[in-house]
Amino acid sequence: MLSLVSRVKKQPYRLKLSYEDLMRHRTIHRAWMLLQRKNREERHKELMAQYQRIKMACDQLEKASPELFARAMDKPRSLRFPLEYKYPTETPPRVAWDYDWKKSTTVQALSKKK
Amino acid sequence: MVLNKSLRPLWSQSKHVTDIIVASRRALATTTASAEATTEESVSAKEEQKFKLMAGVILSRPPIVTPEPTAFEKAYHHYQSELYKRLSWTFPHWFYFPKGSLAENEYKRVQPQLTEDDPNVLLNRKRDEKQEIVFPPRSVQRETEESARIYAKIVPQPRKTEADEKNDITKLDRKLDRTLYLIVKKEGEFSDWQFPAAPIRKGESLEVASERVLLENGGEDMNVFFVSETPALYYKKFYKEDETYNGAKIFYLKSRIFNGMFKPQRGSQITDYAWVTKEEIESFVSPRYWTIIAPALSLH
Repeated sequence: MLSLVSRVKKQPYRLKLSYEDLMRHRTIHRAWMLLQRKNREERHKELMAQYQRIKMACDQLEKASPELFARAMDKPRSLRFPLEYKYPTETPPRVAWDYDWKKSTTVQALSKKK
Repeated sequence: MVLNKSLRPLWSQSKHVTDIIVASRRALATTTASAEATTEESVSAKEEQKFKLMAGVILSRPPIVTPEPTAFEKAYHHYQSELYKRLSWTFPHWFYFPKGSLAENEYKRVQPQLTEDDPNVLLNRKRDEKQEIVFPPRSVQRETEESARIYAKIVPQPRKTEADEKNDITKLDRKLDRTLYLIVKKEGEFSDWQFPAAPIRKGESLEVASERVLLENGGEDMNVFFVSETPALYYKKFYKEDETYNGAKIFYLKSRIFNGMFKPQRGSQITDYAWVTKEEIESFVSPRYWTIIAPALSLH
């Protein structure tokens, strides 16, 4: 059992930092916070720029062709992401990229054939 | 008129956003002023201009591997893990190696024995330091083929692939931590490197046209997912020697590829294609095109 022994016996000593150690720790923490902030702002800026491009494209489409614009603004056909949309991992899979994928071998294509 | 800060949405409360809003308002004001001042001649000239509507695709391969950590990030992660080890509870060996078992004997034999006289030592652990745990090696005597296979150490694949070493830009294996974009070189209209595009046929929507663009240029053996039916980018080009059109207006849609590969089709007039990262695109593409597409692409 994990709790066979009391918590007090398993805990290490409380960490007591000297003044210099404390200053070091704080500097490290502040540097990390600064880096996170910088990354966050960079991502925000990128999203803003992408949004401006989308807005420009939609405005121009509305002016150029109202029918195309209306069809583009419709609700999407399906709100489902494909299964293969994976989150990046620290190391790649054994087969990094499947070059031999063929549409004719998918479930949809095979079921249509029948 | 400036809205009360608390009423404005969160994304507009930062300074650079307000700068963009102010700049765009100023731009609007000048354009409306100039529009009112235009003469009849220029208005009629603008109406005469005809532009071909085209649909294009920004096809990207999402990153397969997490971004490479910087030196500072690595050092910080190491610092945090050392702190965590220093503050961790003593390893509960009685849970993993039952008391009186052979496994427990093996475990105890391998541990560095600390003197119990030291007041800082409890349960064979120095309480003012991180605990170094030594695990006993697996016994080879009762190893079978199956158990060897099950308990074999997992060897992760390298983050850099063969395509990286050869720097083959037609391969999708390359630069696994970055997003790769498809750029294409065609004969005639698209003699510079560009994202693939084609004129929209009658009765087609933007998305249908974009899917057709991919099929005609790259074949059907690509597992592609269109992110949205709304355009992500607008590009206007002017023709110098064309009778019917003054230029073209291209609306690009974004999509992702997960499997398969781009195979240039016979009737597509493609002379060359490449899968490149955002910075690499700059060296392929014309300067004007780059300034227009750069904000629509992602950093990683």
